[in-house]
Amino acid sequence: MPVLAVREEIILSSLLILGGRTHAAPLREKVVELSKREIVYGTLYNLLEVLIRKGYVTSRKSDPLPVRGGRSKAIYSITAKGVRALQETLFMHDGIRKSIRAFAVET
Amino acid sequence: MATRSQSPRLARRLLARLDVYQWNHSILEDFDETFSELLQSGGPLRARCWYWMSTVMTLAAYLKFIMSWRFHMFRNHLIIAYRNFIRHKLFSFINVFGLAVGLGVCMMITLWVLNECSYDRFHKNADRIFRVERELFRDNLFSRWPITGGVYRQALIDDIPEVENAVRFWRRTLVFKDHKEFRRQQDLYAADNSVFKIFDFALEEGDVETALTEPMTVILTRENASRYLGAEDAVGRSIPVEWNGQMVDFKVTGILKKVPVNSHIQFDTLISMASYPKEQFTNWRANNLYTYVLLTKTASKRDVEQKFKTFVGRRLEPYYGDLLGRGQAIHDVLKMYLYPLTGVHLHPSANWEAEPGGSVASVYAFSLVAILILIIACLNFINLSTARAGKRAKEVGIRKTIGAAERQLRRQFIHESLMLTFISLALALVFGELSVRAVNKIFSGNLSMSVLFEPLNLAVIVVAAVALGILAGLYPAFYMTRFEPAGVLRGGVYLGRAKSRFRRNLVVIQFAVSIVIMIGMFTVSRQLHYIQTRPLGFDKSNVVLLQVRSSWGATTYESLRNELLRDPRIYAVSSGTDAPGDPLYSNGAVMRQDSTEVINMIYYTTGYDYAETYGMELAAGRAFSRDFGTDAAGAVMLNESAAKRIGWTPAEAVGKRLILGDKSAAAVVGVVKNFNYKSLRSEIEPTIIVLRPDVMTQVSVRIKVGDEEGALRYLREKWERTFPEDQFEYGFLDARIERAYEGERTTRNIGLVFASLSVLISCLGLLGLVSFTAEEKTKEIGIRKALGASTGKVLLMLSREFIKWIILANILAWPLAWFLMNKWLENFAFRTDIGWGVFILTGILTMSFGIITFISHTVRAASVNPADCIRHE
Repeated sequence: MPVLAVREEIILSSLLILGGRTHAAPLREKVVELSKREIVYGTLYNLLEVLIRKGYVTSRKSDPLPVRGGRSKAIYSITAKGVRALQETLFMHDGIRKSIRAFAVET
Repeated sequence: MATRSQSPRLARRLLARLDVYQWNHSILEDFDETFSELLQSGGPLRARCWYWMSTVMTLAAYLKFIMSWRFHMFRNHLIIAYRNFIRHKLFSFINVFGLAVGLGVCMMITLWVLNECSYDRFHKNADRIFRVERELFRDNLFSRWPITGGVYRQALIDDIPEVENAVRFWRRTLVFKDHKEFRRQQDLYAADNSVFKIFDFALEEGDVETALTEPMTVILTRENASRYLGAEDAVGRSIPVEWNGQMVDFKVTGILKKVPVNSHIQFDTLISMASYPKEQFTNWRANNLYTYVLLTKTASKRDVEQKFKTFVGRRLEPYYGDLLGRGQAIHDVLKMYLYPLTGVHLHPSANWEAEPGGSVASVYAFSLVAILILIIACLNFINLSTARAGKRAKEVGIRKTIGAAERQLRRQFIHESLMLTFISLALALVFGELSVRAVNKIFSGNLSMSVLFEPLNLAVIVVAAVALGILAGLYPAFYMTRFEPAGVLRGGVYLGRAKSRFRRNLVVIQFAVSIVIMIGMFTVSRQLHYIQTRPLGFDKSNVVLLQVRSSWGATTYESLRNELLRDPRIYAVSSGTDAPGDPLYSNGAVMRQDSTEVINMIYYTTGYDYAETYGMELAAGRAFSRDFGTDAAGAVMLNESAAKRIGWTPAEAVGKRLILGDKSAAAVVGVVKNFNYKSLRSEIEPTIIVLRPDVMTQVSVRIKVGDEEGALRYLREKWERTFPEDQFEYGFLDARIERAYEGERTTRNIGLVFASLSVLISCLGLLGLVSFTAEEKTKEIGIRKALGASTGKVLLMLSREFIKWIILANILAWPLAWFLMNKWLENFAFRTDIGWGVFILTGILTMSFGIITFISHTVRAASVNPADCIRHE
């Protein structure tokens, strides 16, 4: 299982935190919150596009909103494969952190 | 909704266009949501700012996304193109090869044209340097005189404030003695020191301020310096030079940097103009050297030429009185003007030009040919690409069914065409590199492919190749993407009649263009053959020309002559300053005794036996002879056109007396038939041959046919015995005359190459078309054969159509070729007609090329077992 890139990891984490299913606006806010950096929709879409292709995320259009002329929004959900990739990446981070600590103690 | 109405409308519209994002995302809704939140928390201004900024940055992100996506598609297209290329090797090869040949030819011609146009542009002041030239009205026509007298330079500087500086170039041939005590003839220019101020010619060693200021100083290239002085340091040493009959030491004051090849003034040695006494340059009627002026930065050519009028009136008029007829002003017969330096090479004067020069007509002609060949190659490319469409139809059908848009498919075909174009370009560069040496030989130039790799040129080539690829890919792209998937996949008819008519028209145009080029080539060859075999009025073969040293007198010559004539292999010997075929000759006034009219004629100064040596035929009278004592007192011969100009028949002329330019009188002893001393491009001018046995710069020897080698050996032997210090240098008259036709020969050779290439490319196009048609008709052929038609009959049936096309191409091409070649032939005073033979010959040639191409391909289709091809579908 390949390791996720940092930005992909942040997006998948945000998605998971938001219950694994959400649309773009809350997702963007969460990503900004986690990464402490502003991110524009375009960049977010590009990353989501990559994640969709890799099969970590699926996107589907919701039912039209219950307002006049309301349109459907895209809803993103994390897949089981995505969850596994995220777990694996987080494990890897833990491993790294541990070995760094051991190294720091030794010296 | 309140939020939507407040969000910037333009930004919304921009976002709405990002279609690829719409598939998986909901841009507008997402933007609106964040926008309304911001509206509440931060106010409308902040929200709008955010909306705009995010839009712009999302656009950027979108572009990035699309680009990477396009790149993936492009890679995919390349892979598909590569597979197609490999699957149809022959076809792809023909396609790429045709285009590569076209591009290669184009590149070569561009190189040549660039080189021709680069002449004399390397001088920093090139646009301010002019050559002072004059036009003289003589015998009802203006003739261009690029040469002036030595006295002009100072007078121009004095009289015309716009002339910042001026320099004279005087072509001389002097005898230098080298370090092995050998005498060598050296062609050189005498020049003023201002040459370095005006031109960008430079010194490797020595001071440009003083190099040519002192008398008896010389500067020469390193190569030349080591020839005369050995390998050591040259500057400061001296070279013995034969000067007015004595050896005088010339001091080397500098080493000259090699003169660039694209300079119309070529030299490897310069001596100071100051070496000649000032009195030598006082004659306003002298015409012997080139004067170049550098105008000030603010001066205009027209103003200066206006001032030349006053100059002519004040300085020249007193000396040109004899040229004026009754009531004529000096401005009617003499005009002085400036010729731009950068124009001299491509527009050389017909007379008195030291270097052969180029021809603007060939520059245009070859540029035209280059464009034509490129067009043929492109048409060919388009043709072959569309012809292959049938094979690609299924692919297109499947792609469409899966969901490819026509736009995407079009892009695919354009990518493919781009790939092929770049392969062709690479191939063309390889061709160019391989053939550049051969091309240099036929163009008699020194082109280098490295010019093409300069950043700017390379950029132009790449841009041009991209444009070409897109252009050539456009038609196939639009044509092939129009297939209806259902029809194509069923294997039905996907090729309308209209489409094949378009391709047929392309082939006809291709052939027509090649036919024009071919007829052009044949006509050039024919004209060249005509002028080379036309009687010149003298016998150019077997005449050896020997260069004479100034130290000789008439007695030395007489003894050499007697010595030479003792051998039976030597037929006649003559001396003189002029031989037919020389580019430079002199010109002077002739008057009848009973009239005051001054007639300007070409002067030939010769010794005895001139007519015999050159095999000139006499129309009346006799040649100069030692047996007539009176000849030594003043005798001349005229050519027929001179006699006519004076108003005599040849028979009348004999025995009459004429007044020559120096007021001496001479008797006409004979009239020779008109002979051609210049290229046959010009009419034969009135010429007078003056007997001056004591004046000579060369000795001409006619040797008998048979043992030329032996005769030459004998000549060398006698020469070396008589002049042990002088190197034996000789040249053949016919070789010298050949040189006058070098331009035409180059044109013919290039034309030959281009014509063959254009026919080759056209045949490739025909091959593509034939193979396509044959494939289309496989079933028909099969059925016909099954019903009993022979292979030959099937071939005949198929070829009937192609023959029709080729005939059509011929009919289209003939009038155009006839018109163009008549225009070209008008350049020649003596010209052949175009002749029907040429047209018929090209017709037969194209026909047979076409049929060979056709047969070679269709024989296979026609000889297949009918069972196989009927089962085919």
